[in-house]
Amino acid sequence: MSSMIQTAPKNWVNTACLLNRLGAIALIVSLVAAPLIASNQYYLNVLVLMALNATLATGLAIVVRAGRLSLAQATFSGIGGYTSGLLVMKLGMDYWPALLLAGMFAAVVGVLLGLTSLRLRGFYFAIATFTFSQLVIIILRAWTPVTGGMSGMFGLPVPPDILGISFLNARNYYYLALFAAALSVSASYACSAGTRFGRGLTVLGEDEVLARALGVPATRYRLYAFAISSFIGGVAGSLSAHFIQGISPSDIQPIASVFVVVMVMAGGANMLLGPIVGAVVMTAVPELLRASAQWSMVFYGLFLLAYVFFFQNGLLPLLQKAVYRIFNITVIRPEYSIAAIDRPAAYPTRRTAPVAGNIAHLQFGKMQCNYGNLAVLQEIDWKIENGCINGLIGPNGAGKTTFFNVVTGVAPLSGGRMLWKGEAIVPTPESMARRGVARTFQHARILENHTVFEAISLGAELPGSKPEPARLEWLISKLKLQSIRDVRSGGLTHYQKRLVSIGMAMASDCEVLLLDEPLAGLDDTETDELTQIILDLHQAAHNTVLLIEHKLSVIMRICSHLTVLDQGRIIAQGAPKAVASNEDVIRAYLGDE
Amino acid sequence: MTENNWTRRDFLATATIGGVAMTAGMGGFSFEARAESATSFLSKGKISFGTILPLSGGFTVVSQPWIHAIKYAIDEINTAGGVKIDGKSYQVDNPVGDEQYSAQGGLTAFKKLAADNTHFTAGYVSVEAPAAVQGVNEQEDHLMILGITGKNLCLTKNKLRFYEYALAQATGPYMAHYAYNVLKVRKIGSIELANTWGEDFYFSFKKTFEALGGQMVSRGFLQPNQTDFSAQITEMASKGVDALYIIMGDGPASAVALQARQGGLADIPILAQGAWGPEMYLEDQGRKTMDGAVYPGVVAYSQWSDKHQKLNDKLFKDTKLYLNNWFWHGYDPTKIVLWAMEEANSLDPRKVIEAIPDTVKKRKSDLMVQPAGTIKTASKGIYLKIPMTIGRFNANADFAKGPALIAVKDKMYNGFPGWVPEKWEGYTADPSDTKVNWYPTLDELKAMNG
Amino acid sequence: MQLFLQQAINGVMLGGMFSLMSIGLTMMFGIMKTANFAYGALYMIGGYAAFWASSLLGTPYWLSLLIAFVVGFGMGIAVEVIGFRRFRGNEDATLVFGLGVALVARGGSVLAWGSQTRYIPTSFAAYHLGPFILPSARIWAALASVVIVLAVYLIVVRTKWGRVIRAVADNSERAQLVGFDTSFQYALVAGLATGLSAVACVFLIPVFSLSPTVDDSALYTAMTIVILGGLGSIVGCGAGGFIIGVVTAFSFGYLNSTIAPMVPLLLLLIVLAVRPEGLFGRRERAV
Repeated sequence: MSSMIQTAPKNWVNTACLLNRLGAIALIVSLVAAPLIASNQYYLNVLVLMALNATLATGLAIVVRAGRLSLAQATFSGIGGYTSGLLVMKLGMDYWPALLLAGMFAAVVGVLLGLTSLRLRGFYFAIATFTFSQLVIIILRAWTPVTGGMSGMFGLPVPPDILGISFLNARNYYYLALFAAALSVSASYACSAGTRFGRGLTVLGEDEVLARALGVPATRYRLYAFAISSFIGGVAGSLSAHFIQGISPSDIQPIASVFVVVMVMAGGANMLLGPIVGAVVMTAVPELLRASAQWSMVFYGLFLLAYVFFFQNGLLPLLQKAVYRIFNITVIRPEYSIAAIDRPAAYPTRRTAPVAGNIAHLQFGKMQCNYGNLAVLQEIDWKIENGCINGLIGPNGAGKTTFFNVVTGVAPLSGGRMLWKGEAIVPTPESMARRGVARTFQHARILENHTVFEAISLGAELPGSKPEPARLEWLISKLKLQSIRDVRSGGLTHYQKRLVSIGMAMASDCEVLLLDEPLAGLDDTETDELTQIILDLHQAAHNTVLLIEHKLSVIMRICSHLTVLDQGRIIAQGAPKAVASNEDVIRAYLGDE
Repeated sequence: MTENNWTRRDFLATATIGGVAMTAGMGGFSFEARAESATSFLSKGKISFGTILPLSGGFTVVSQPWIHAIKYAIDEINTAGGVKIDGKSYQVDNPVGDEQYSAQGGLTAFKKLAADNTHFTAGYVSVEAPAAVQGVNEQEDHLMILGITGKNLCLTKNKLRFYEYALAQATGPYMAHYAYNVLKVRKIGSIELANTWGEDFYFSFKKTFEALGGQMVSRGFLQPNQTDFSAQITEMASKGVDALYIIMGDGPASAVALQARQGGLADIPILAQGAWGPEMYLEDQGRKTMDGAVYPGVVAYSQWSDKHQKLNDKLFKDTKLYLNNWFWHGYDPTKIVLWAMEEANSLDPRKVIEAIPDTVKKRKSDLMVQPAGTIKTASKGIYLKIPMTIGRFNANADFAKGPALIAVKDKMYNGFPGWVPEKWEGYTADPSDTKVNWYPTLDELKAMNG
Repeated sequence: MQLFLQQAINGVMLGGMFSLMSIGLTMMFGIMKTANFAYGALYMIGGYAAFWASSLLGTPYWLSLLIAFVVGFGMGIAVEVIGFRRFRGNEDATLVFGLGVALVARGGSVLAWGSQTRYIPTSFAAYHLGPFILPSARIWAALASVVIVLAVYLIVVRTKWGRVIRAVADNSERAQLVGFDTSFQYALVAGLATGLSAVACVFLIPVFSLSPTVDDSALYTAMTIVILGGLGSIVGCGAGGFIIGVVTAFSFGYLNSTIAPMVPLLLLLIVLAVRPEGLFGRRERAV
């Protein structure tokens, strides 16, 4: 299990950092200098298109990272273009306010679309957005008096001069588009690592169940993401329409939205600059193939196939790997170490040892949970003891995890009452997380793309509390994760992942901790270790623990109260020894240890 | 900064660098004088005459004959020694651009050609592509040769535009007259491509037809990707239409005709505007469906000469297609422009376009479409006066050896004016002005002629 | 009244044709959970296979159908084995793969066969049922639809193989544990589904004719119906097709045809918003 201490050498992170920075600078310089090299009207035209596509793609990446594939980004671009065109041509508005309004109108439509598709996931959502695109095109085609119908609107003016800079000059327009792209990247940053909202959104995209359990208000955040993404789309569309000086439905065919998606993925949705690389490449390829126009569709298709077979994560991560290889940087995964390292003295918590007579945090009265016609839990009467480790056991399929799901608002509270600190409530994942209920899952849910430290910080930050460094450090050292704190969680062993998930749950100083079979799949040594950790954590935190486990020896050792579920009902409750000798329990409970 | 994530500091640093650089780019380099555009209109020592047509994106069927028509015209002139200016002979290059049937595609294709010093382009099938290019072409000293009508496009201001095909407003009234007086139909159901071009054909037909006493009982639209027309056909059948008028749409138009024949309108005559594609020649079914359909076409369609035979053989060898509607769009106008260069003794498009009227007069006998002259406008360019003939499609003709359109017997419809007279207010008014009479009836047209 | 009934008849026939267009995707999507964006393109190529067989080799109609089926079957297996199998579980990659195949197929078709419309000879015969007109091409296509959809339904629900397929569809891991060769089953289903879609295309050529734009309408129609009817539900495919057909016929009959295409799309959006699993689909359990 353990071997020698091997900390991750510091210099590899620094070199990678440096290379990233250099790469970014190189990108900026080349973007800014491009029009000087490519100065004829055609190249400038293509550059403007690239910059606008980059803006569009970066905006879409916000929604994609939030876990939804939208096939409507080109449509929002079209909406923006038509809006600003109409405002300028028909209402005589100045361009710059019209641009802003175009973005805002697109954002409103984006939110409406988001609202209608809230309950949809994955492919269904994509189809809803695709259908929406088709609808918009039909409306644009049909509403001739306003939109010009199939022929569209032409003769749109370019934006007016700013301080003598004329936008009839394509190079200046390129810089304008580049500026829009930069703003788009800023927004994308704010919607990912830059703000708490962004971090929550990212987690939402990575693992929705975990995100909601950590208190991320999924619906609200997604709507914000739609609004921002559509706003960006609208702005890009307006800039595009006023560059071409016209817009028509054939510019925003539904397939165009699909290509924006391809741009995002081709470049790499998870990297900030990924969509830009994707947009540049995917705009350049058809242009390069213009000479053999009839073959361009075939080549584009082959190109996509090559992408999907050879670089599934996108071009930018591939580039990064290549560069790292050149500079001999590898990611090291050190072994888990048991050496003790200095840790902060105590677990910072506002709780003190429990006093008898405190109102129980969680109580249930005749609680029932139905899935369709099937009653999965019934007649659950339980007043959970504060400040104790409460064991929850029962045969497979008894409904233990479902019970946790009801507590966290994932499974429906079909009947009876649930009380929190004496008040009847209807639980939702976000509200329970904010109240201080944290949980782990049977299959450890951690944030694979984040480092251990980041994951645990997020566990503290997302439910609403400030990530106190002292608590995080204490947890990391207690869970013996110091040596792997900067390692990507996805690469950890099963046991390490378990530790991280417990760390994430404890990071927010939760009132109630729900542990769902934390010892499953561990060998004897690991089991003993983790059991001790759980005990230590509980002692330091004075929180209420509910523990589902099959390893009865552990249950008997650390739980002060025990509840037994069988077929959805509580068949025994009380002190462990008493429950263990209960005949009903023995009869019901077959097979395990 | 970790592997992938940026910290706030990195971000601000990047933003600052970027901002400074861009300001430098915009401000600093704008002081650079705009490079003088080449006074020479040559591209690598040759005249560049470009073709812009949809090779992808939509209606690509019409492109092949048109592309080759332009190419053949250029080849002939090259073989005869090229274009002679100031005693020197120049060969003509013919780069082809893909308009992708969209504004963005057309504009990009145009700019690519313009960057290579192409100052003449012909083609443009969609309405969007030329609409986007218009305006830009004047800035770039570029002559556009267009055939697609639709008043929102062909009646906008553009001094460097040569319109080589008749206006819809001119052929619609004659078709209506023929339908009413010869076919003796009274109730017409129509399906049109839903853009301004389709609209022009519809209204110009309708005005005259109704003035004569007929009725347009059902007006349907054709979306480019629509495949099923049963509902519209049914509606027409229920209203007892005695003729079907199909406006544009090529590929879908054949489907309309087929479904009409299947759907209860098996025997009624079909009138069509530009709605024909290769399937009418190459597919038995296509032929059968459109047999007898009434089309207005340039006179060259219903005639056949040795020249026709030669061009047809060449086209068939290159594309397996026959001369049809789209070929005559490209052939003569290209020659007119190249000859006009010699007439003007210049390659400057502004001078070339001035020389077109004289060129047309002098070379009339060399042109297959037998133009009757040109209409020169103050700000809308030049329109070619082409005589038209109403013909009926003969499905049993041998397309390799003769015309597919058989001219109708009545003299009135043979060689009628395919243009609206100079006096028409449309040549000076703004297309969005609703007070203008955009669709003169046949009587009004004749009155304008005096 | 007669107009109304005639439009209704049009709608029913159209519905049959739409179901026919969609049965292949229903199978692939429902059983293999594969969002096959290449569906339209493969459908179209199957049609071309039949067209070329009949025009170059002069094969009779039934043989052309068979050839289309075989070609479709082969393409379905190829696409599954080369691509979809590898990307199972990765929705983005599945999307891009399907798209790539669709683009190559569409571009290749234009290059190889030109973009003009193709026909298979038909008569203009229309059957007259009293005052109502039933074009023969449509009636035959609608009948073929009923037969094929029914046959698929019976196979999936009543036969032993059907049970195997449903087991694999339900939970492929468990099915594998029990001993079914899921890869083989998936390939078989993919082949069958694509083969059927090719046959559908051939039946619909006399009605809609054949060109390289046929793939778009097949894909959009099939997606709409599959989602409306409910994932994996054969009954849903039939019902969804029927509903969309009738709705389309009435919309185009009574509304301006620039607005009419909106109606079936709005219907789809409403169904997605209210009942995302479709009319006959099963709601997936939340975790």
